[in-house]
Amino acid sequence: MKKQTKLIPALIALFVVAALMGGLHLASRPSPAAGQKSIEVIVVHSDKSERTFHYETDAQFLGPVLMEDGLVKGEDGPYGLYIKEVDGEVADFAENGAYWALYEGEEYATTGIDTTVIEDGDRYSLVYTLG
Amino acid sequence: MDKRRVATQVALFGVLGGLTFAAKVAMMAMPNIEPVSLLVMVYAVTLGKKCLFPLYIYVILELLLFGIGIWSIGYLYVWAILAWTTWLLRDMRSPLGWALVAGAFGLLFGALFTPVCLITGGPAFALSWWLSGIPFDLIHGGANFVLILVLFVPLRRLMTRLLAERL
Repeated sequence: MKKQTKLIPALIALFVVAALMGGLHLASRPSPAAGQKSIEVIVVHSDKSERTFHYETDAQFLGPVLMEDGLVKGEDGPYGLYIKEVDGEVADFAENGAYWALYEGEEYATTGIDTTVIEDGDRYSLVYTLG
Repeated sequence: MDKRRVATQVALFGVLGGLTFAAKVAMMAMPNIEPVSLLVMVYAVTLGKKCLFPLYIYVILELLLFGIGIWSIGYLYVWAILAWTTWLLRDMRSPLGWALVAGAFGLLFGALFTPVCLITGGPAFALSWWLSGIPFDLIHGGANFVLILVLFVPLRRLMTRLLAERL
């Protein structure tokens, strides 16, 4: 029992670290902006051909815009929407390790497509990638 | 060491590596709630340095089945860090103590991958990647804490007894 009591400060420290991390995440999260936004989505296919799509939208997140348009098809997974098909091309990870990588500008996106916050003038790329 | 004992150990490491992977796949529908931390910790306290064999069999299976990407580099060292930490604390008997270790590992899981992000995308990308993954780290830490609090001590006892009887 004495040993367990000694661990109480460590337990409190763990909760404090978790709370700080949660706070940091909330503070750093971009807040969705209301109103009309104009965005551009470039699709890079497996044969390296590119197609560019323009959208005018009131939506706050990228996923619903592209799903509604039919550009992107996917399924909900434990980590959010998993993109299976873009512009008619399927990336089958089970078959050859292929997946659709999302880029915001030139940077690899750090959020899933359905949690990516849209801002006016944003440029995204969906790139067929072999793992 | 006689050949039979070596063969038994090789088979055991293969089975444990496969078991770890199967357990992970079985729980994949739940994001970041995984049995791998628990099993790696049990292997570390019962097998010592030899825990690296089942651990890396698991990692190889993971890479073979889920593909090799930039994130794979992280898998090459994160589990070894947990195993090494556990081995250093192997004399600890408190379930709460082990739960704290596993909880901290879960909380730090995303941060442990940031060196890879730092090299591949730079500091801004690494920071952004870690921050966006914090909700998953919180789930990971909480799930690890509960799983290890409940299961680590009985599994360690069972594994120690089985190893003493069979090897």
